Amino acid sequence: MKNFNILLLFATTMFFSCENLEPQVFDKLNPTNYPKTEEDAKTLMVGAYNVLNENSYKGFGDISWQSRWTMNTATTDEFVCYWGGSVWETYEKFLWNSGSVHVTAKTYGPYIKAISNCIKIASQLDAMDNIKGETKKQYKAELKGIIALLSYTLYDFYGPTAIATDPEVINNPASDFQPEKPTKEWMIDYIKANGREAANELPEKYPVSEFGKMTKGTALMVLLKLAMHEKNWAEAASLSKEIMDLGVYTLQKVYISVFSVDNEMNSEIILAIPNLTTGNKFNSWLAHVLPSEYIEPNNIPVQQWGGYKVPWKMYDKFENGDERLQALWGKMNTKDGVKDLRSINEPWAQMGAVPYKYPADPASTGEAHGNDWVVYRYSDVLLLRAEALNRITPLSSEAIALINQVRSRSKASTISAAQFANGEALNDYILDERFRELFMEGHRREDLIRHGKYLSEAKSRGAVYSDDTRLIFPIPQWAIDENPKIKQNQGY
Amino acid sequence: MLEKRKHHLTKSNSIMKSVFKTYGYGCRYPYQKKGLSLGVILFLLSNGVQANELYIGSLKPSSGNVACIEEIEPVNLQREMSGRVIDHQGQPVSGVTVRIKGSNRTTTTDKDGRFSIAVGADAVLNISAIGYKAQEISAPSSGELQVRLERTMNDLEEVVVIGYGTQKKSDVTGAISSIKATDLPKAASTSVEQMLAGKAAGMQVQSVDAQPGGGVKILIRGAASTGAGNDPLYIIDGFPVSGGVDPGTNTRYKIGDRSPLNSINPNDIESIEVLKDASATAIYGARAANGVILITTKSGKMGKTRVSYDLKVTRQNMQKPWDMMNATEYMTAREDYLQERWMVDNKIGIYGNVDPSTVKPFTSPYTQQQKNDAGEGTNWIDEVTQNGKIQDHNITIDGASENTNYLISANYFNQDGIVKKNNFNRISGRVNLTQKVNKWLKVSVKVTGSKIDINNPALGTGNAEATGVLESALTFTPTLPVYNADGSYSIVPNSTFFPNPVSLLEISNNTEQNRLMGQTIAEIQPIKDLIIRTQLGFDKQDGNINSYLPKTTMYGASVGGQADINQNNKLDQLFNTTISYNKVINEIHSLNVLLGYEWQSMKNYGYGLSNNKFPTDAFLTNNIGAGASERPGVNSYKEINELASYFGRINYGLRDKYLLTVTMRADGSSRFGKGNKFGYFPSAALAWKIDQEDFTSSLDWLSRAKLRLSLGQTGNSNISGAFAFYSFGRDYLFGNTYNPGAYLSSYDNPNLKWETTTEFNFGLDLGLFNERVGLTVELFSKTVSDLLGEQQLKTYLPLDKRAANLGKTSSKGFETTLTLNNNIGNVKWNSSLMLSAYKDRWKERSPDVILKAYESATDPIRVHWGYVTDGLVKPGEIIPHMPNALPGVQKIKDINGFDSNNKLTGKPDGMINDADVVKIANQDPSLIVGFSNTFQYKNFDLNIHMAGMFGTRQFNQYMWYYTLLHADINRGWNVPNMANLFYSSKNQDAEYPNVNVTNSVPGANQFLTQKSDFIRVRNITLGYNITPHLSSQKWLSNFRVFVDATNPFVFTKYKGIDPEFTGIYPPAKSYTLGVSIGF
Repeated sequence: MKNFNILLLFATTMFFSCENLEPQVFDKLNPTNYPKTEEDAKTLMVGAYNVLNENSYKGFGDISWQSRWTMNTATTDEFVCYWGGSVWETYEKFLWNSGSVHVTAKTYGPYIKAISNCIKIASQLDAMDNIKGETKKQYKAELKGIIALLSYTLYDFYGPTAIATDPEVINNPASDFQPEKPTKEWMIDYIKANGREAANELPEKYPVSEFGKMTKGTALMVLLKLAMHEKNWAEAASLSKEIMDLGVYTLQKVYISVFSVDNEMNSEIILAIPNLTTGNKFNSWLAHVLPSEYIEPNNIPVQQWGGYKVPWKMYDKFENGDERLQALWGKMNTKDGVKDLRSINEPWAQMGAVPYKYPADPASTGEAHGNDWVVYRYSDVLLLRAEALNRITPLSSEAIALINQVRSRSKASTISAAQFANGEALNDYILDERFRELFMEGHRREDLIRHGKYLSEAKSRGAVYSDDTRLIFPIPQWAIDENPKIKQNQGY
Repeated sequence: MLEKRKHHLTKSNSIMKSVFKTYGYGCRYPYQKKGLSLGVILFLLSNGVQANELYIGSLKPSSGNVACIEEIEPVNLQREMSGRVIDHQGQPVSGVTVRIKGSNRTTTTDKDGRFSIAVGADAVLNISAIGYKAQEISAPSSGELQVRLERTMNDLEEVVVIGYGTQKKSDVTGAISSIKATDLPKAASTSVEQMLAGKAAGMQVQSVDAQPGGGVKILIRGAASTGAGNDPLYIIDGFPVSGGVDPGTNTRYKIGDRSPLNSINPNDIESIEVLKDASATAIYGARAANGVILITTKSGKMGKTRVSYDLKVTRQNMQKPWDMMNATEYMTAREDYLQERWMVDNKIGIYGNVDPSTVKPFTSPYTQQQKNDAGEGTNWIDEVTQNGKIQDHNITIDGASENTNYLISANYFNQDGIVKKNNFNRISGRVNLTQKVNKWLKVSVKVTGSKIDINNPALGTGNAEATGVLESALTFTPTLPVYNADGSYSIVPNSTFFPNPVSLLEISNNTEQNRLMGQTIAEIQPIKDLIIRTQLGFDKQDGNINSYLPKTTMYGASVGGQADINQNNKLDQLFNTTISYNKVINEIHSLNVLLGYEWQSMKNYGYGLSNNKFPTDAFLTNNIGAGASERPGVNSYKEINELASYFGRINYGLRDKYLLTVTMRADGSSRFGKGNKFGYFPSAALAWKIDQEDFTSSLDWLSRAKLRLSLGQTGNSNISGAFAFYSFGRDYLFGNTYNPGAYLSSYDNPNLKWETTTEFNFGLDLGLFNERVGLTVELFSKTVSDLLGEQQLKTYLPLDKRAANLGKTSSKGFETTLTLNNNIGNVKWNSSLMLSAYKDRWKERSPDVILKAYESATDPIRVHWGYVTDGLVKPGEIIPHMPNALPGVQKIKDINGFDSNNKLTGKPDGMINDADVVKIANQDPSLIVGFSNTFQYKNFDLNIHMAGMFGTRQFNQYMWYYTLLHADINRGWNVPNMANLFYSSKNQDAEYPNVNVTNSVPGANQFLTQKSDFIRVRNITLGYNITPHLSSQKWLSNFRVFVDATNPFVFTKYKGIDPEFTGIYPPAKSYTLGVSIGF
């Protein structure tokens, strides 16, 4: 009896000593061992960029419901969707309200968080000793570039937005701090400060292996967009000049090649979101726009959901022979050969032209194409500059020249000042030209608002709510519930 | 009545031969004299009290401590008769007491259930055994008597399993429901969970997924935990099991929700105890807050080796097929849709006052002839479904002697699902062995192994080419044939991305789950009354899924074949030791003390592989390196959680009238930070056996009465997140290269601690009219504090959430079980009705929780919120607060508004927003019902079992498809055949809104959440026992056949597919033929 009692005691003690009540997680790192090294800092930086392309349905290349692109495009005259249903009608007819995820879910909260994440990483970099000063400076400038880009988008969508900027607050999950909705001036200054500091430090170009990072040009482009948004024409003129003077950007010879997979990283691109057919970061443009009835001549297995189209009314703004129509199809290959779409008496064909903007990637796996997503490019700079110059000096000859530079690339007829009665007329023409050059690239909403035509266009589509309050989107109700200091945007 | 006093025996009395039965407070002895059985009763009265009021004979007054004896004269002794006692399944019952009524002549049955006894003329036999109802039968004048015993529902001597031990049912102080294997439905079933619906009051069983082996949600006493899960703790033979291994697919086709108990053969289960209140569960401490389900497997029965074989063969039909449109109906509906759209777009008819002649006229895409000729078209559901089949073979070999007890079982279960190519196959085996080594040592081993192979259906609720087999069958164009003329699969011309349903049957997707569970138990009895028990156990589970999408499927073609392998492994280990001490002191105090220590480790690890661009489909997943993907997927993970616990329990009984149970458990977990690792969970319970009191002794109608009160605490730790971690996975592409990106994936919360449930329980057990009526009532009230959950962080923080203790909830409820045992002529009818209900609500919210305008701090936990609707907009009607509303849109009442400070004004504000949202209903059922009936007539038995829920609502997915996909009818998608229910210009009296126009109010489709009260007939089982006709067959000891219908009827007003099942897999009605043979 004594024996087994001892045995038992032994067994029990043995198991007592097995006890390990410390966390045992083997596939993650913890703050005591990360981040320490320069390699660690690099992985944190990659994590900061992730907001731009978390995956094809979350990021700047996302063209689905709730995305930044959709909010900028589906609410305008250049977009119509064959899928029908309440989602697209909500955008088309301005039916959103403070409870609608359509205009808040993928931008308001996520962008505020991503800005905080950049600020947090910057503060972590500051605290890291074993990393080169050069690298630290470069990384912090990239973070500022991301902050400028995201905070401008927030400002454009929601007006001055309550964001946090103090690393101490951001690093404390138990913090009681609640940000005020800032003034317009503060918001503009904040975007400007970040954009300018980034522009000052960032390189103009990177080696291929780092393509996609924030550059000096990207930061300046954000500042240019902001200046245009604020109708600060002089500043816009000087910023656009600054970008041109960098000397790193040129127009591609062929319009559609800007977007093709074999001409990636071309010199027209100011900011692109890199994509591949593999993994979860791919370009799904063609799947969204190609009609099911399209026959792909090269047997590339493209997916064809047949949703997004450009209304025929807008298509008709092009003149014959404009090479940009290679990217906007009035006719396409069907089982009955190449057919003029308007001759097919089916709802899908009667709705609009097919924006074949991103030519099929031969390595496509259906939905996934490898074409990098173009956010900002050089012809946008030229046309913005033309617009700013025309505002400063109506019918400015440089403005005309810039427009012609863009048009001639696509073999479109050139214009002369004599064709326009006044600066207003040229201004209207520039808006149309911006459509012809930049259609379905996510700029239309900003352009229409700046030209004062966003609401009237909506009204003509049957939107009932189309007063001034619809120039910005509502702040989501949950954000107001969370932070009583935030007042809802007027009219929501 | 016997006088209820303690009596002591003196050893000196030579008449005492052996004590064979303790009954009440007296002792009876058999006394053999001159070869005759004489009834002798002996009462030894230590205090000299006269005993002549005792029930038999007249005893002489005692003197001092000396016993008084009187011999009863034998009367009418005539002959020896013999008989055999069997149970309701025809198995012999040993140890049954057979007594001649009016005398105290008794005998007991042997291991074959046989007995013989001397009887007089007109003798009546009283036959009784523990766990069975006593019977009185007249002794036949000749021949062998066959007696069939029936189990009692409420036998006081019945033993129930409790935490770390067993207890006499009559001594239980907590709320425990005990379910014997014999009470479970006889139909073939993959897992025992599916059999439990309506079997224990207070337990809510909902089948979630109707596929073979589909998941079942079990809630015990509601769901008051808001963030840490409400699953009960399952303990199989003393081993707490943690989830199953089902790696799932990371492909676009989901495999649904499955039960982790599929690997346990239901035929092996002896009993299931459901521990409900804190007194019963607190011994399991930190994981017991949602109740505990104790599963005990069978062991050998006394007697020589028995072999039994059970066969069940089942056929399944779809319970309620989806009613989709046929080709003609589809074409008509598409035409109607296009016409209605044309009217909306051009503002014609009810949609405006535009003169139709001023716009491009509407032309139908079809002629009348085309529509008529289309006929039925293809019924895609029929193409991908079939009648299900189940085969369930079970062999059990068992036996027991004084020192050895063994059971060996093997099971083969094979089910073909309602969806083609969907198959569930299980092979399992078990060995339970107990050996008494010597006087003080007993060892047991319980080992079970199983292998499950499942051909998964390609389910999926994705869109377009990610559509699963059922969803695509529901929506594929009925006008198309399955195959084109060239043998290829047809595609929808204007939705070419939509996979042909039949093509999806080519997907190879197999889950394999292996489980080996072993327990070794040693019981040492160093001295009388003291038992040291040590259990060492493990549960090793491996699950893998191999899925291959061949190039013949649409997605497979685009990626060149897609192979995925995912492996998930779990290893749970357990060690525990308990020391228990039993002592009865002076026949007044009974004491049972248990002390224990337990350590458990739970390891979860696995990996995944994926590749595509395969040169051939031939390899499936067997040569995954043959794929040429530029970026094949690889991942792996590993985590270990540990628990260390100390616990104890004291059961104290005073004069067998007053019972006290006190338990305490301290649990330490690796999930929490320093300072909060240990949680302490005490409980106490009192029970009062009222039937033992003098004042109830005169109440003849009262056979049993017990009052129970308990109070205690249990915990929940089912959350991770006390520690900060950085995870990888936020990658980014620079150029054409993926770069690994890291991010803070969790904040630490050093204050995070156990969720604690404090529960009060009141219980009353009554037996009336000699147990013909039994009633148990439980009332409970519990408060869950320090609720574990994900705290919503401020918008500006980089992470959304962190784990935290958030507020308090409470749950109150009742459970009643009413049992009736009736004999109507030759028919025996036992029924049991269970009713239960609970109300879960918030008691206190965490200060950082932001309530929506319509919420209050003490709302029910689960609420259907919605707007007040007011019919549909009529043509020409203008709703000021809904300026866009077209005819047929649901009118929403503007009942409240916000002021500029976001405060409710109580007045309409001309806008529909959160201010107008109201509580429509509590999501939890208001009443849960179970109703079981057993009828017995001669060798027939009939079992009807029903279960139901009231006050529930379900989202009608069937109708939702109509509203969601309605517009897609234009693209060739089929929709449910319910256009007549919805408003249109042609159907202005319809109940449901116009789907051709958009309602600008988000959430306006709340009409899809519909009342779903139901009563379901779960099982009807009719059995016939052939055994009595087999008396000449020496080798066959038992033969029973039965037929069973599972889910044959459901009574409900719900218009969806099923008021209970969610998910897309069609629920089935099953018809089973079963045979049970014993050798």
